[in-house]
Amino acid sequence: MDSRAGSLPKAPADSPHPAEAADQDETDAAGATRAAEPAKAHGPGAKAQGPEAKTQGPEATTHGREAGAPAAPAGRSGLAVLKPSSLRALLTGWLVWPLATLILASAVPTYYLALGAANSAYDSALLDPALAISNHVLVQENAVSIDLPASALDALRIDARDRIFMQVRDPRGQMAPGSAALPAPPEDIPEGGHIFYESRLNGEKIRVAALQVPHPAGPVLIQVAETFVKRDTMVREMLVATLFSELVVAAAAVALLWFGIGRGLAPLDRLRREIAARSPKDLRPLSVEDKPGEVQPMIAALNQLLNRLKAAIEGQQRFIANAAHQLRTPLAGLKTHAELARRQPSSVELRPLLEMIAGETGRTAHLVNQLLALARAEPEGSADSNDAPVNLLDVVSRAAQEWVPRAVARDIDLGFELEDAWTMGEPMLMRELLANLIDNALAYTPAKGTVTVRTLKRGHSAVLEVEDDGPGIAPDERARVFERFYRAQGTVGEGCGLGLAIVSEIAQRHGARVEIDTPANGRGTLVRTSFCTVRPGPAGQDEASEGRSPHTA
Amino acid sequence: MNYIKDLQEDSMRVLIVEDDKALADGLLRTLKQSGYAVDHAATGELALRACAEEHYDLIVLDISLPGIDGFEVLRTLRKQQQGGSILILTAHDSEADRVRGLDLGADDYVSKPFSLPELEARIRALIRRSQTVRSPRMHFGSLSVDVVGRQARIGETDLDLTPREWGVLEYLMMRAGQVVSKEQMLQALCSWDDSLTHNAIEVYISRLRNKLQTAGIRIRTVRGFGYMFEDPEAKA
Repeated sequence: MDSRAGSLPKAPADSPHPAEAADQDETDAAGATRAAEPAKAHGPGAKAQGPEAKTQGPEATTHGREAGAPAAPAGRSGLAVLKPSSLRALLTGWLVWPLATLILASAVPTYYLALGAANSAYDSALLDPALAISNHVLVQENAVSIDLPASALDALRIDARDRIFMQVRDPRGQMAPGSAALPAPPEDIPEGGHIFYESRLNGEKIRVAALQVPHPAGPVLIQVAETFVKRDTMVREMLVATLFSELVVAAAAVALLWFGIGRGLAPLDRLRREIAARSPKDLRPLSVEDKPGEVQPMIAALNQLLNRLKAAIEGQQRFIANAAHQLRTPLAGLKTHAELARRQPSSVELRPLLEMIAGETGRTAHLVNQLLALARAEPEGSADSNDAPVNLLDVVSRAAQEWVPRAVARDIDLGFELEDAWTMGEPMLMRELLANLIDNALAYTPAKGTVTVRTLKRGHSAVLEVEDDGPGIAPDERARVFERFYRAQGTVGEGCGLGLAIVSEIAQRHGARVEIDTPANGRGTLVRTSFCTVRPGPAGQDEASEGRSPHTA
Repeated sequence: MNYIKDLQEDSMRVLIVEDDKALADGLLRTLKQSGYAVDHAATGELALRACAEEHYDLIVLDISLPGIDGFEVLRTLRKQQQGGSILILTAHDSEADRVRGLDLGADDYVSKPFSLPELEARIRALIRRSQTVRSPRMHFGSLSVDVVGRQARIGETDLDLTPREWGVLEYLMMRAGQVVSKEQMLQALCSWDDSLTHNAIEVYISRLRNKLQTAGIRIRTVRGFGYMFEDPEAKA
């Protein structure tokens, strides 16, 4: 989720140029309004919207590009690239940088603590030679000396890593032989006491232990100094060890947080999947249970939106039902009168006019029916699903009643080759799909032609085929005939160009595939609709259909 | 306000229940031309009053009516055991409405806008069915059939039919102008002969065709499905 989210377009607010962002915001909003317009027009005007609905496609695409645009300027700025847009990266980022700063900052006190520790560990060792010498200092009249063999003194100066310097000074300021020129202590030393201090010798940092030894001739100052090698090493080791363990803990914390957020965000991902898996018709509220409290208000808002959408769709449904009634009744009256007028004996001049009125009225009625069917076939057209197990054989058998007389009237041989083929579907839409296929076949097949309706089971598909021996559809036109209001080249039939669009819409809604083929005999058109097959639902239905199955004769 | 009554007697009587004036007028003209006595009621109340006073062989019933709607009229009439056929003619063509109408006892269901010849064919079929209740004699061109006496004549010549041929003819005749599947025929006819097969049906049909040839009656084969007894009264 996070890596993908990270590559998503940045919100315009992320843009480093506020003015530019605002501009884009406006363009964006304008684009959205434009895209929304045809959708809005879908409301009351609804049905006669084919071409408009078609132009909506490219426009929507354009809008999509506009919406993506703000990503570019934001992406170009280095700062913006670092700006995480995934919640997980954002939260982790908020942890990582302060944590790193804190760890770095903590190095300073750690250094001084380590230094203190190193000094207290080594200082007493540094004082030891001074104490050892203090018992052997000889102050004579002209000189001060140490009453120890040179080898013993050398032994006191031995150290594995540091160089050690010594200086013994009598009250007159005379140095014992072998003394180094060590700097004087920065403060007074109490009688018989000692101090430690840092100083420099020939530019090199040293730690000095200074001991004041009482002597009859006055206090003798004994100084022992060493370089910082082992102290530095100790400080470094302590610093590294501390920082390392801090870093390990911090890294573990960041990792835990990273995975923890992932786990925490899992309900969001579940929610996304839940929404994505929904059928376009499913407007039921999303469940609030098993979702974290932070997401629940969002779901509640989403559910409100779904409810409003549902109400709007139901309103549209009611409108369609009303429009159907309002349009169909007068059209039925008009059609009846046109037909009656056509049947009256009339003059030669009037005859063709009456024929034309009857024909046009018939076509208008057909168009109204088609548009309503299309509206119903659209996913948003019906709020409730009436999907049920359907046997294509039954759908065709019922339609035969209606279509054979029409085929007879056109002098077309309408025949059937039927086998059981069960699928899930909405019976009324299935009927509409079949009606449009047969209507199309009858419309484009000349008199004396043959139309065959076939149902069969092929593998996992329940197949419905309607085949005619008419002029056929050229291969390069086969994809286009499913477009609304498209009519194949050179067609002369009465079609309004919606039949196959309705077929395709209904098929899509049922997850069925529609293809146009050439019949086995090489002439005409074969439209094949393949539905997913299902086992017949209730056992009774199964038996009933088994009993009737040998329809093929 | 009252329903409009046709004073013609002795004809099959039809009631049109439709509130759209133009459509009602068109239907009145059409059915009167076909020789029926046609009454018109513009509301559900008027329709019920008309049915209380008259017997109708057929009622053409709209569903969306002011006041009592068509479903309610249908329910009331069926409760009163009104015997005539009822054809629902409606702008609502949803599957649910169709099922509801047929469940309430409607005999047929046609949605608007309809094709006039189709509506006429359906009305003829319904009238013919209710006709056999009153008078058992049916006519198809020069073929006249006495359903109760089981006698068929072409003109003045008696037709000689075996019981099985008779069964097939009667079944088809009652559904003249409609497509019947072989399965439906088998199911309806196997009560008197369990051994009836597809092939046997084909044989009877072919014999009937020969015998009815002179009456100009045509039994059309619907390829891969069944048959249609063509209604000679249907206008092209």
